[in-house]
Amino acid sequence: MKKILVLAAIAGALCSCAPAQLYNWNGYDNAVYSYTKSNSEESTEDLIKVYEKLIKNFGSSNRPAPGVCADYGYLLLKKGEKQKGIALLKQEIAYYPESEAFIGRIIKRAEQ
Amino acid sequence: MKKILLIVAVAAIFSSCNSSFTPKSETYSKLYEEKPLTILALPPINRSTKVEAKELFYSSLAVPLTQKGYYVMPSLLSMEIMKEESVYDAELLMNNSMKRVGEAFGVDAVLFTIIHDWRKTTIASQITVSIEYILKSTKTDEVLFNRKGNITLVSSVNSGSAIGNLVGSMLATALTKEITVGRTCNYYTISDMPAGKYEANFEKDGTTPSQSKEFTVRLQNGY
Repeated sequence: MKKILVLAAIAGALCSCAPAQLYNWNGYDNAVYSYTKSNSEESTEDLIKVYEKLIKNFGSSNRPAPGVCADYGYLLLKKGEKQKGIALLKQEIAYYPESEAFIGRIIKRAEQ
Repeated sequence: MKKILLIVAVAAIFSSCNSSFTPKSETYSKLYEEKPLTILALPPINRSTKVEAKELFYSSLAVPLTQKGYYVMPSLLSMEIMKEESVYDAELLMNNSMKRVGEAFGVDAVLFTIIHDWRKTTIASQITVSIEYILKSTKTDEVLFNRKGNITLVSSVNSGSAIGNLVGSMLATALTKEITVGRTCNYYTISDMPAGKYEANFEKDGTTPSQSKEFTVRLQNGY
């Protein structure tokens, strides 16, 4: 227990010197790993829950991380939630206009 | 997350002993010249014996690259489209011009990753991951960044008895996945990449010393 406390203290001290992260990716690493590994309905739902948080809580930048809205939209399109999926893809372009060349093509395909 | 940070911090301390003094502006001069903003991570080239490493590792690339200030194409969506457009085998693209891929995805640069090793040995209770990162311009086909990291995580256990140590070490490695070490390798290697447009250090980190082209880090994981 003591060892854990010491480790936590060191980690805390180290974190406090680092500036806040540019983007919030909390929970993403493990959720996307499980999704990629099992591709199950449960892991998809878990990943969706993570995305739902990531599009609302930002890091030091005032927007979600690149790709978050687009990949969330893509998951919803795959589930058949066409309207919400397309809206999220458009949101990605609004946040990051440089994504338009690629995402625009996906939106066109989804709208067909 | 804290644990990963701690590992990265330990790695940074290790590396400071053998850092070369070439400034980033010199080592990565092409990157400073081209200032790429949009990056497409290509499916990893897997030379390890672990088949599933390719897809599992792929989705871990976006986080550190975005935190570094780049726009990274959405992982899940890109992977799907790359499979459709037969860009799934990046090895075939390696020596080709990147212009076509650049136009198709609207990106300034593509990131090749080569998984040289991805292995877990229960007996020695260690995980080894060796990954090479090559960022290539889609405008000029120049290599903008090329680094290779070899990371080994050793779980050390000392319970005071030989059999206790054996059981403990088996448990310790079982709890840690290769992906954790893969992520550490990403953070460590990509931290040497000059900052992208969305990061505060953009165009300000040229005088920072760059790390050596290949580095080996041995991490200790105590239980």
